[in-house]
Amino acid sequence: MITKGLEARVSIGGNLSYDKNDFYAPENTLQGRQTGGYGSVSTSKSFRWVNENTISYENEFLGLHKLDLLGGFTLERATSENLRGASAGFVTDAFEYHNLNAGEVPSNPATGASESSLVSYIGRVHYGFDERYLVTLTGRIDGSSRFGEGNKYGFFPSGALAWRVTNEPFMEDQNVFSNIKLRLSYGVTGNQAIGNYAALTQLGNSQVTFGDRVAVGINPASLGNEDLRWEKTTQYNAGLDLGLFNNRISLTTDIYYKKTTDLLLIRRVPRYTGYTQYLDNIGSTENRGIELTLDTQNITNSNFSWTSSVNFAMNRNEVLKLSDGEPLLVGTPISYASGQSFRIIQEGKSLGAFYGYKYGGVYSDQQEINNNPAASSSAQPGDPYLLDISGPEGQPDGTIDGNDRTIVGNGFPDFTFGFTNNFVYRGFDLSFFIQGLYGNEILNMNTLRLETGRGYLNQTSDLLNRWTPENRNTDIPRAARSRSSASQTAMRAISSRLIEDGSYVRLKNITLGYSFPVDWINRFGARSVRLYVSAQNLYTLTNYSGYDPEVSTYNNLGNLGADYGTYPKAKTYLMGIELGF
Amino acid sequence: MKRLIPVLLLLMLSMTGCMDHFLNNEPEDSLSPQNFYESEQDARAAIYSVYERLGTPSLYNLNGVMYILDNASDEARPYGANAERVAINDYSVTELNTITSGWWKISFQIINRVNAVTTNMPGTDMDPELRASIVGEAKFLRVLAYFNLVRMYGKIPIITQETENFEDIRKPRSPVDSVYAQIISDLKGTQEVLPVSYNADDQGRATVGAAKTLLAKVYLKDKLVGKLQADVFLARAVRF
Repeated sequence: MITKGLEARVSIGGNLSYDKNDFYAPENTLQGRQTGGYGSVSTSKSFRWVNENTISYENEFLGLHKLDLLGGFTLERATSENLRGASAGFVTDAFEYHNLNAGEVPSNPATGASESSLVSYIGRVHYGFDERYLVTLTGRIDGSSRFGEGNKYGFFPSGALAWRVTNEPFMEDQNVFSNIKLRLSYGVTGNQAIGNYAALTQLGNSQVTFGDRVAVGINPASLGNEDLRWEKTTQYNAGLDLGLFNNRISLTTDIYYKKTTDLLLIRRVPRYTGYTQYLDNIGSTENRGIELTLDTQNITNSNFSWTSSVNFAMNRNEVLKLSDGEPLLVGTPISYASGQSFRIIQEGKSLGAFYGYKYGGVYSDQQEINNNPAASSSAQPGDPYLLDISGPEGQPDGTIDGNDRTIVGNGFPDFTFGFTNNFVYRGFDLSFFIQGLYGNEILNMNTLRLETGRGYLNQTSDLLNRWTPENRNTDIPRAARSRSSASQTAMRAISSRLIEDGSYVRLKNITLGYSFPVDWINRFGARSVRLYVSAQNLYTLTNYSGYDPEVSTYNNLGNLGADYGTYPKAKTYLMGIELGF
Repeated sequence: MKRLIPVLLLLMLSMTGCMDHFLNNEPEDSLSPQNFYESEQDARAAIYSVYERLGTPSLYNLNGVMYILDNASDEARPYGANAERVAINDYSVTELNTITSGWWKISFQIINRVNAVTTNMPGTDMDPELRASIVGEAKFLRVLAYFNLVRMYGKIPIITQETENFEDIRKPRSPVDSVYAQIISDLKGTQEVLPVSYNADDQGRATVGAAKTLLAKVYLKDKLVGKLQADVFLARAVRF
């Protein structure tokens, strides 16, 4: 505190983390048997410090004007180091990973280091007039070490206006509305969630054997992108908060438009460059949507109360522009689908688009094969096939190749909703939470393995409906030990065969509790005692054939809605006692 | 308060220079091309890295030679039902086939590593003879990659400069004849500079014998023999 209302603040914070991973595969494991015992120790150490320096000023004038100013800068640096050692061929399992030097076949030790820094200059003005009108203006300049020379800094302004209508004099005489607040806001935010040195060209190292020695080579590894800059999202938001009848009913609504420019994403390049991909600012996308939350106190008696909350959200997403207009293929490919990317980013389409072939079903008989100009010469009734929808000239050309791929689904839902209820009756309380998603699709890549029909892998019961001479009207291929190339391609392709409706309604949580009367438990020295039983993910209503519609194998937006052996959310039952003293 | 703000602003301004320095984080566990390709040691490391690619599974190992060449011939057919191997057997390969695209990728990684050597060698501080020998060795390895590629794909882009950025990356496919012309001119240039042998520590690197053998193989490639004067080339092929 310098003078009244003026405050300078310097803070330094640090975060140190240390991870150690110990591993030993003894002789009685497969890996241990193959290697004569394999041990490894890896550690990583990371340190992040933040220094914040701000000056703020706060004052009230005439009891009406409230002013709040803040300015300053922050510094942040994160460093990390890692170390790994491993060895194989142990005389005994006794050492485990504690004596790697006793292994006959040591691996090369590996170390690495990484560093990133962030600088921010911040200014904020907050002004309130008579608790009725509120204005906030913020400007910040962020600099990140991750971007290219000359592009490290980004400017991110934001502003918000709020009008608390219920504090107006003309609202004094009514008692219907306990709260009306109108909100308008605009803001730009930045994204720098990329690798630390993505803008820089780096050489890598490799090992090769000549004669009896190992030589180390240094080679081009990644090509930097000096033009790399901040990804920016500009959001416009309008909101209305309503409270009715002493807030027994309260409604929060928001409508927003978000435009992301300079989207940071991997761009693939022709492999004759010697590289496969690089990180680039590839274009712009938009998101628009609404969000509603309605909280109600339905019954409030001294003996019985019931409150509920409903929320609803809807978002539409579209790729506006790509810097070179060319669609981008993304999505972590899995080897079982021959490494095919399953997502496409294309102008005018949703970011959630799944990309693949259209699955035609199976040939029910020879006649159907004869009628299909794109049928392979070795096709047999019961073989699956893909649709020939295009070719190099944009017309079906009688062959199935990359030209026949198209958008076959969308991983984003039409809308999401949640519904919470709380009941209290004397000492008993009951609450449940229902959550749902509607209109999204899931790319169920498990099908690639679980419906091979080759006779030696565990399969889903859908295979009972496979094509047989007696069961021709199906889209499940016939069982076959080996298949022709065309039908094998159809089996392994990312295609509409794998697309399923991912909508679901799920009872996420239900809890029943009983709290003992206070005067009764006071006698035992306790302040509160509550017994409860609770269950999570108890019941799910869905048409999705996989384990769990709520999962996504890859934990990022670009791969949303793809399921490949994802660990399902557990159904959990809990019983508990809460004691308060 | 009023006096404090200008002071603060001045302080912040003066710090901007330091901030730029603060934001200059460079990798400590990898090199940049700016601080490499300077010495004889660097030149050796650069050429070694080309050989490293020859050992990748997609090229001469299981995926490359066995799955591509043997499956495509009448000598073998794929065991099991891997669609990509079956496709090679049936000649129904598409651009999505990871076995053939793996071969393509590794071959062009070799070519780019070679081009990194040939592009950067003139700036190294080393014995000119050794430098010429390493450049020759690099060209030999580039020929090896191109000879494989041209037989597999026919028309292919001829790239003899290191990729230094991603502008202008669309390259046309050159006709087969041009690829062979490049191969032969590169190989001929290596004859004078490559050593006859290496000492034990460098066993396995390209010698003049390897270059001549490869040239002979190129000449013997039937299409070329038919097109050019077969007798002359055959005579040259068997001369050494």
